[in-house]
Amino acid sequence: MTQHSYSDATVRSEKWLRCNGWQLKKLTNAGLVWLEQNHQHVNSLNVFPVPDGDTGTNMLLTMRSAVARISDSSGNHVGNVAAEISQGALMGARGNSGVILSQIWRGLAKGLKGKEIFDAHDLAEAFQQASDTAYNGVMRPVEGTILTVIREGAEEAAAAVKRSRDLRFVLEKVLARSKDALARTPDMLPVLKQAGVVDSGGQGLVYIFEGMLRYVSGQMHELSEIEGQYREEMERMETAQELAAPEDGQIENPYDVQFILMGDNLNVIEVRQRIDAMGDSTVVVGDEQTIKVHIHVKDPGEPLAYGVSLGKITDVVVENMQLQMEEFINGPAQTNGGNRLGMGTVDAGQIGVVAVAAGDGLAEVFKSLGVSHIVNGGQTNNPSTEEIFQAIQDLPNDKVIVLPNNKNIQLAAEAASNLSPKSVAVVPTKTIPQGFGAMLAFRPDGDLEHTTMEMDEAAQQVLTGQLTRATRSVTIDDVDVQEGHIIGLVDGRLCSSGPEIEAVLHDVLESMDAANREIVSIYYGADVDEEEATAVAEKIESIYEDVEVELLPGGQPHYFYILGAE
Amino acid sequence: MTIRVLVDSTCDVPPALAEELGIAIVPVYINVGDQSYLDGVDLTRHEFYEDLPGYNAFPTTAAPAPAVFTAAYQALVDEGATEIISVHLATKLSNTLNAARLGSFDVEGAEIMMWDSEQLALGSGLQAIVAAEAAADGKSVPEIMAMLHEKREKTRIFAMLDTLEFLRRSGRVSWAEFGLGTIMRIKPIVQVYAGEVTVIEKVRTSKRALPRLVQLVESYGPIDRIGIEYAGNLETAERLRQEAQHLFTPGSEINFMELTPAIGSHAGPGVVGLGFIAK
Repeated sequence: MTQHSYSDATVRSEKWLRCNGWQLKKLTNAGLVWLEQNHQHVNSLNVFPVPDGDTGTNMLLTMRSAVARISDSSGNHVGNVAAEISQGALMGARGNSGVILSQIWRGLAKGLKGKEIFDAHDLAEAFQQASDTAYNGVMRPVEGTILTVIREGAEEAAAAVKRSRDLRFVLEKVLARSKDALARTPDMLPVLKQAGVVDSGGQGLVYIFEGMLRYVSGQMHELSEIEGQYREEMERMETAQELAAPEDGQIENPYDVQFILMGDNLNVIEVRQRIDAMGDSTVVVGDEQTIKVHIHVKDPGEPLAYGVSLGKITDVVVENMQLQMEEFINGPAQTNGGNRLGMGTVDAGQIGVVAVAAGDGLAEVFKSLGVSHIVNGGQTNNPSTEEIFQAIQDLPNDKVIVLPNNKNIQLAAEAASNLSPKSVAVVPTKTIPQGFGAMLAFRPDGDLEHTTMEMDEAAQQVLTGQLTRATRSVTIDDVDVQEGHIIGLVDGRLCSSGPEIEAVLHDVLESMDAANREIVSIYYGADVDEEEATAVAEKIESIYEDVEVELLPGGQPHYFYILGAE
Repeated sequence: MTIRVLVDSTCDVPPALAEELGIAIVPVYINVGDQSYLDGVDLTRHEFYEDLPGYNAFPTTAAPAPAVFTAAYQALVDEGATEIISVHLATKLSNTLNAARLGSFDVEGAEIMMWDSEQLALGSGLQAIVAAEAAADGKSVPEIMAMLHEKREKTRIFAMLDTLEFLRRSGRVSWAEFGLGTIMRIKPIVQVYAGEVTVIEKVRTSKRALPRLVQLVESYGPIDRIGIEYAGNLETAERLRQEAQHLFTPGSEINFMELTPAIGSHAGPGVVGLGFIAK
């Protein structure tokens, strides 16, 4: 403990001139923790009031992956620690913001390569590398985003270093400038101004910088220290429990409960005893003011009520492990019988396709069209670079095409394809119906480049409509949206909003010029039942008489209806 | 020297034309459950396609025994044939030619030439028709065979399938690409050429598929002979005829023909296509 205190003291001393590996770990962890505390705010800044693709969550998951990667082996070597952080971020990157964030870490790691410690000059250079790498990672860099924030941050670091070698001074300057740049993003990107928000990715980065500074100024000490301890304890506990899988498929204490308890004069030992008595897999760490709790129980109310009796609780997570396990066992697996549906290419010499989809029904359609592997987008709808990369690697094919089916997955797909030694091409599909359209043009025996081009062309022939519930009130594209109302989007643009699904659906169909299309396909989501969907489809059929209407269960989360028109 | 042409019923030579040109047709067997029907004799095609969706057991087809061919050839010899050209569907797709060949060994009085059309349905039929016309025109067998070699390379079928169910159920997915989207509504466009059936495009509606069929035929240049085949859906066939109007020059077109159940049972009702020989 002595050494750590010494290092913390150095950081908070009058002048902090050198940063070592251990300190970099703490800084990064502090950035993670502060982002974690504020990620919902970042989510709320999404310009589009849609329930998936949350920037805050994506950046958080990316940072978690980065921090998880830091091992003991890198020791105190700053260059090695940075490399590990970068690796973790790259693999765990989700969503476009997550990928750009990982490129920022990559640049930082490049700048710190080979150094045991870094000083203010090194830091300024590393920031510049971070900015350059981030810009290079995007096909069409746009100002008014996280890119602007890192660029101006780097500029400020270069200027600050001329005035002082104190790392804290430099970080303070970088943070102030970043906040300033963030505040100006609505002036650079009209859609932000319209929505009345600053750029979410930029805000996420600002929180990370802010977290680092809070650590440096001693404000974060307790929480980040506790998070670190918590993680270590969890690992220890999980390793010991690895062999304890339930034999009859029934978990004794199915609810996984975690929370942070904040209060005064808390007694960690007593809290641990009381919590431990409620279930198993106990991890309780902290001090008199902050305690983090983890427990598996039969009734989640019990530990939560206890926490509330002692102080304030926050960061509450309750998961039903029994359900998760059942889903895992019975969930969409790569079974055969898909042979007749044409699942998977057997011939390794052919092109294999990886598609991202959230929704069992949608996955089935993709498989029936010849997709070899589905990556499940999940609730946030954003798989990580690693998940996509793994899917590519798992296929027996040397030539692979990836369909992201979502604008926010494009970068992660590209990153995964760059990582893979195979010949991989990404068809830039922005929606599920575009993905289906692309598959119609898919030829497994084709030439990779040519096939990719044809699939892209086919994808662009498809118009997409989406219906979901608005997550906030906002005015975009001359449409007034109220939180909780149904919103309709056509090819990613907001077109209608209102309290009733039918009316919005009608607007969407009109906007898609449905009357002049040959076929409209309707994929209904998990929140819609078959009867309702059938009634809707029949209504549409009667209105648009010359158009073929196809209704299929999509099973997707969040979006009541996804429509494709050709 | 009298040259006669013989085909099996899968070649879809329209009956009137067959009579006019003296083409002999040997019917194949269509087996539905435990009943066996002679194609075009016991079961009309129209009836077959109407009943097809309701069949519990999947219909299968069987070539006639070699002896049936022997008798057919012998009958032609009795009518004065000295040379017989026997046209059949692709050996890559069926045993029928083989059965005919075995049957030909026992025939006296005529030389019998087997011809693998590398096609099916009208694709085979068109080759039989031009062969018979050449024979009536006084051409010799070597000349006719040379012509058939040339024509075979220029013979194609482009067809739109209405549903993939039958192709899937028939178990003959090896014919065509995997992954045909049985969940989504898809109208695959298939090509028959060189003894193979391949899915070349997947289109979403028949509205789009029909013009596409015409485009595909057009891409092969001026047409020598062409015909439309369909299975149970005369209306769609007529729509196709309208789309293909400009392809039918006088003398090139043969009448609508309903597809042999031998093929139709695999393609499913609603299939419609253009069979042609390019110039």
